[in-house]
Amino acid sequence: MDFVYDEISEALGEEEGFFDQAEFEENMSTHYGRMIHEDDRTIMFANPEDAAEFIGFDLVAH
Amino acid sequence: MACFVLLTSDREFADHNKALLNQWLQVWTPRAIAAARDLQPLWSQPTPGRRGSRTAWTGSRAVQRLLADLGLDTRRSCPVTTFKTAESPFKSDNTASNQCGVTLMNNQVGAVMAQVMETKPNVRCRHLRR
Repeated sequence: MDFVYDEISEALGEEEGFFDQAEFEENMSTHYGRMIHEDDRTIMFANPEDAAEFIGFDLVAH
Repeated sequence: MACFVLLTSDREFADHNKALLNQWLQVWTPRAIAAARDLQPLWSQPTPGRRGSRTAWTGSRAVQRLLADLGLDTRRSCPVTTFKTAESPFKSDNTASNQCGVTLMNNQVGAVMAQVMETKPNVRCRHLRR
């Protein structure tokens, strides 16, 4: 599930760049699943393994 | 136990004694259970170290076994399946749901975020109202 910041900025009637990670955090109260913040979007993952793969994180401890 | 066994296994009067004891059970078991149920709200208070009502009811199984050993009527003696107030109606399920989600603030920005996300595939938006 991708929260694309510019899409939301536009829907809000604001300039591109208005809606950002800080704005996202402010308006989200709770979340369930793995959350990855990128510069232009926040991505939610249902499976932790998928999120780990997305950012190249090795889930297996060495 | 030892003193009741003599009564319930008596060669001559066993049947008579059992009938009398069963008669007592008929009267007192329902009263004891009703009293225990009325105490459930007290047991359900979250006090550390206190045993809950479930533990207390399992004690009634021991009574049931005892009665069975004596050859007495056990039918009314073990009401462990009924809970009036002890169990919470809110169940939790910690198995994976294969879903992710957020709750959003009920303000202008949160509402617009929900509107945008609602248009995406595989996204379900539930508007909570008071």
